[in-house]
Formats: sequence, C-alpha cells, structure tokens
Amino acid sequence: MSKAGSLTNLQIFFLIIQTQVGFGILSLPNTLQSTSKGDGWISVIIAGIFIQIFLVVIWLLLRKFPRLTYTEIIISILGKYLGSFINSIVFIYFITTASFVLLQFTSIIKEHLLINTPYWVIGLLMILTCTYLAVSDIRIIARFFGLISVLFLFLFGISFFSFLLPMDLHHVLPVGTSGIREILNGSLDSLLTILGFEVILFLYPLAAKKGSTFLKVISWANVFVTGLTAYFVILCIMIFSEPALKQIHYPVIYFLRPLHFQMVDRLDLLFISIWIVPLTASIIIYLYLASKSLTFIKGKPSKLIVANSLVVFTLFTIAKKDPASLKLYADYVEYLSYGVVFALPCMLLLLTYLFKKRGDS
Amino acid sequence: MRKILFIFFSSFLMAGCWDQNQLKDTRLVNGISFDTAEEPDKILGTVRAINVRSAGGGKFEVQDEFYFSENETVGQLEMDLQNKVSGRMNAGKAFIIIVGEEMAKTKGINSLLEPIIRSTRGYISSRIIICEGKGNDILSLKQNESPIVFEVDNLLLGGAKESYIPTETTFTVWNKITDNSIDVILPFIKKDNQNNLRLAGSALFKSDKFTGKTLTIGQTALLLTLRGDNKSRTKVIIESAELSQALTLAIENSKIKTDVVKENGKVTCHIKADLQARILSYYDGESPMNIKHLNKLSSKELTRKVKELTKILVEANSDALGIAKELSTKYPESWNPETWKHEYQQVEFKPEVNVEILGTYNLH
Repeated sequence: MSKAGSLTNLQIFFLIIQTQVGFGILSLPNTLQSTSKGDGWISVIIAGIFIQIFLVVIWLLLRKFPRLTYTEIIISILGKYLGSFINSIVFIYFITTASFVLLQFTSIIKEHLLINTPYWVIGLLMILTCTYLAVSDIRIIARFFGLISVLFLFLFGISFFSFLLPMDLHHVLPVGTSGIREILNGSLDSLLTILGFEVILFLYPLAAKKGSTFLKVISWANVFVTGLTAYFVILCIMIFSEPALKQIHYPVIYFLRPLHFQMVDRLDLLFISIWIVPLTASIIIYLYLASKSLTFIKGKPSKLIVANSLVVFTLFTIAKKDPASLKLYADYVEYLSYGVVFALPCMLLLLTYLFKKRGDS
Repeated sequence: MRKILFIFFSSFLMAGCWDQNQLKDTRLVNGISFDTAEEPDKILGTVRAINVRSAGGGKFEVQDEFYFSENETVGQLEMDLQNKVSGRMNAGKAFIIIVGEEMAKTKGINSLLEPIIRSTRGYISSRIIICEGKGNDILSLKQNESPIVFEVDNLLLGGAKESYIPTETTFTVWNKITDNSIDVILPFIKKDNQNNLRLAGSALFKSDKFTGKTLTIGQTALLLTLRGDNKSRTKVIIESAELSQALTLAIENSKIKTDVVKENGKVTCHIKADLQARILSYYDGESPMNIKHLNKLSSKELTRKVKELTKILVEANSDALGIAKELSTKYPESWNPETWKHEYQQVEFKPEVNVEILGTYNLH
C-alpha cells in the first residue's frame, strides 16, 4: 500500500526511464562506429552492467539516509560550508545538462523538421512547456511521465517497420572482431547516452516502498533502458553498412527514412515528433532537480524553477551551435557527470563508512 | 500562470510562419535524370515536375512540366533549375532517378546521390535506373501528355513484383555502394523506335560505376534467386536439344547455400541451390518425358546457366553475389580489400542446381 504523497514503484520506474532516454541514443550507433563498430551492442550492454553496479552503490548510500535527498545527504556528511559548495557544483551540472539537452533538441528539430525557424523560437517553446510542468509537484510530473510512457509503444511500433528493409547479419558477424579495448571504449561512449539515472538520488525519500523493492525497481528501469538502447543500436548496425553508419549523424532517425508505404511516407519525421516527448521529460526533470539542489537559497520553489529556466534559456541562446562547439559542450557535460554522478556518490559512501554516519539515528 | 499560458499558446502561432510550404507555390518534381553533357565535366540534368493549381471549387488543375539544365555538380544544377522553374522546386517526391549509360560509366552515381541522401527533404526511397542512351530522351517523351514518370514507375513495379529486376531504392544503392563488399545491380531500360519503354534487364556495377555489361531479364531473375532476393515465383525458361519446345518453370521455394572457401590463397565459391518448381508450360507432341527426367534435365540446364552468369559477373568484375562479404566475415584476419580487387578475377565458381518439380497444374 502506498502512502498518500509518495511515489509508487511504477511512477519511479517511469521517472527514471523518461530521464534516461534522450537525444544520445539517436546518434549512438554513429558514435560507436569510431570505436566498437559492429560490436556496438556489446558496448551498450557493458555500459548497462556498469551502471547497474553504480545503482547498487547509490542505493547503499541512500539506504542509510532514507528521509534525505541527495543534497541534504551531502550537507549532513560534509557540513554546511563544504556541502553548499559541492551542492552548487551539482546545481551547475543539472543546469548545464538541461541546457545541453535543449541545445541538442533544437538542433535535431532544426535539421529535420523546422529548417527555417530560428533556434530561439524552438528553444523558447520548449523551455516554456518544460517550466510549466517543472513548477508543479514531483507527483504530478511522475504521473505525466507515466502517461507519456505510452508513447514508447508507438516508438517500438514504428521501429518494427524497419524490418521491411534489407538487413544484413554480416555487419554484426563475427562477434568480437573489434577487440576488448575498443568495446570498452565504446561502452564509455554509451555511458553518456544512458545517463539520467541520477534522478534516483532525489527520489528515495519520496518512494512509497524503500529498501530492496526500490533497488528492484531501479534495476528494471536500467534493464529497460539498456535493452532499448541495445535494440536500436543493433537495428542500425544491421541496416546500415559500416561506412554509411559513419556518415549518418542520427542513424536512429534515418533508418526510418527509406521506408515508404501507400498511405504514409517519411516515418522518420513522425518518429522525431514522438521522440520530442522523452526529450522534454529529460529537460523537465533536470530543471526540477536543479532547483532541488540549491539548498542554501530559501524561497518559493516555483520561483526558483522559473529563474533556473531563464538561466538555461540564456545559456542555450548564447551557446554556439556549430558541430565543433556541440562536441566541446558534450565533453564538458561528460566530465562534469563523471564527477557529480559517479565520483561523488562513491566518495560519500566511503565517508559514511569511515564516520559511521546514519540519517536515522 | 495565465500569462505563461498566454505566451505559450501565442508562440505556437509564431512557429508556423517560417516553415510553411504551400502546395500552390511548389512544383513537385517527380522524375530526375542525369546525363553527360556536350561539354566535358558537365552534367545534363533533367526534371519533370507537376504544377498543381487550384481551379476553383475545390478542383485542381495538374500540369506536367519539363526542364533541363547543364552544370558541373548536382548542387549547381539544382540552383539552375530552381531559377528556371516558376515557383519553388520541391524534389521531395521524385520517384524516379534515371541515369544515362555514359554518365554511370564515367562519373559514377555516388556523387549524384549524395545531395539527395544528405538533404532532409530528399526522397530516398525513390527508384534509380540506368537507361540505354540518354535519360533526357526518356524524360522528354510524351511532353504535355501524361507524366512519363508514372509510366516508368509502373513498369518497374511490375518487373519487381515478378522478380525480373532488382528492387533497389536510392537508399539501398547508396548503402551498398559505400559498403564495398557487395556490388549493386540496377534495372536497365531501353527505348525502342516507337518510343515505347521496356525493361531490358539489369546493369552490372563495380563500386559506383557502371561496368558497361548488362544481364538479360532471365539472367537477372536467376541472380536474384541465387541472392535470395526473389519475391514471388520467379519464372525460368529451360531450353535443351532434348526438348522440342522450351520448358517454363515457376520457382516456388529456393534454398541457396553459398559456401566460400579459401585454400592456399585461392577462393572457391560453392553455390548449392535446391529449387522447388512447378511447370507452367511444357509441350512435347511425340514423346513426353516423365518428371524425373525433366528434373534432371532442368538441373543440368540451370547449372549451365548459373555458370554462364558467374562468368559474366567475373568478366564485368562485379561482385553482385556478395562473395567479398562472405569472405570478409569468414576470414577476417586475412581479409584485404586492396588485394581482393585482383583476387576476384581468380575466384572459381562451382554451382550446383537441383530442381525438383512439385506439380504440373491442370495438365499432366
């Protein structure tokens, strides 16, 4: 039985998958061509396993502080001043990630759907929609995410049409030609794609069922996202030839373009239009988390979120939109994520063991 | 809150202004052809476009238009043509791309396809065909009458349904050409003296260039069967000295096993095809043969035909059966695309076809 005002298991599941599924997967098969090539799907699965290990680490940490969110845990372990400093780094991470997702999103839209529309219009439309939802309660966000998860069925449905295209198993065979080194390099690239599980850092106190049930839910979410990513990667590897995959920016969009039916053409445009929704979900959750991580500012959360959206939008507008800069930003976000999402929870867990701190006692 | 809602909805109205294309302003290109021009290094590009105009009362007037231009690249051609066409040219529905024989031989088709594959508006499931002579001559047929492109499209549709020609689209062609481990074959069309079009088989490619060698309809159908690309019941004709009249078979099931073996640097390709077929026509007035004998006869005849086919493929240096693909996955350590170019000439094909006649329909 779930208590009033807490999140059910299913809602947590949807919150995680909607945050994890983003723009990264659209270009992942292309990115993997520079490393693991035909064995890209192995890289994705390895990345999934790595994240699973990490989820356990985070879960161990959260279990010790069942009533505190991530930022409150940081303060309780590191003290007020150092904690606030670390929290502002966490805040910067969420803000930059939100801006980066927004930037990627608009460039995808501009390249495929609205060629003549200026960047700022697309960005503004997006950020307004996101702010509108992000100012509301996490439960409302969770319910909305549950609702839009129905769209995954559509995405799967559309992707099944690609089986009509000539596929070639030779692109996958022989398994393991790229070598272990390249496969591991590839999984590093895939890691950035399935980033977004950090949302659990803030969900634990809200969860109706804590303890091992929570771990089970987040593990299933991870399995789902890893499976989805691996599925699209292997689909693209089989459809496109290696040199072709190297040239196409967004293979996961492009693989629907060659299809044509009597009634419908250009399924890819339909696919992007649906894919916009999980992208919006990512921005919403990052905006929400950013406002949560500003523990030292007291104020109405809704105002904070509006202010954050303004920052995100400003960052997005002043950012350069050429491919080289996008690559640079991606690297920044990647390094920041290593620090905030991977290194920090590990360090905190270590510290709790050293000082034997517990949130409950 | 109300303000946010207001801004939100009003900005929806804004987005429509930039990216709207009205049907009455556009000229829908439905067919493109590329040929070599008189001047060297120039491409002669031809388009057939449809002009849709509202005739009032919800009715539309459709007019077929014809434009051509010469320039160095496809991108420049597009600019030229845009300035000739009244209204905005939209190639988003170009069903057919015809490449002239000379063009395909000298320049290759990759550079022609690249802008279509790259653009977000291009139609990449269009069909691409090679024609005898100039593509311009085909597109200029029946001007102001019926759109010739739809005629070509239907011609291809019929041929592809019966598995007489390969069903390649711009995307699959580009995908295969970049791959370099299988060579494409494309439909080849001819125009006769009465200005009628007909499918003449397929054009063999080496990488992105036309080798100049073509296969007949029968050979193409056989090749497609060997590749496992045949869609419906492929028809084969068997001629032999023992038969007074040619025998026609429809292949119902086919089981193809291609085994590529590399021994001491020599590549041998064993093709084992088990075909199950039904007799479509067989007439022998004096002494009709029994099915067992016909099985044997047609197996022998088809094996000979496959041998003939592989000989043409090797002569044209076109790896349409995808031997390179098999070889590179089977022997990844010794795979070298550079030396393969010479090695292909030495590949020995050992075809073996077994025909089993399942039925004879209404007559014995």
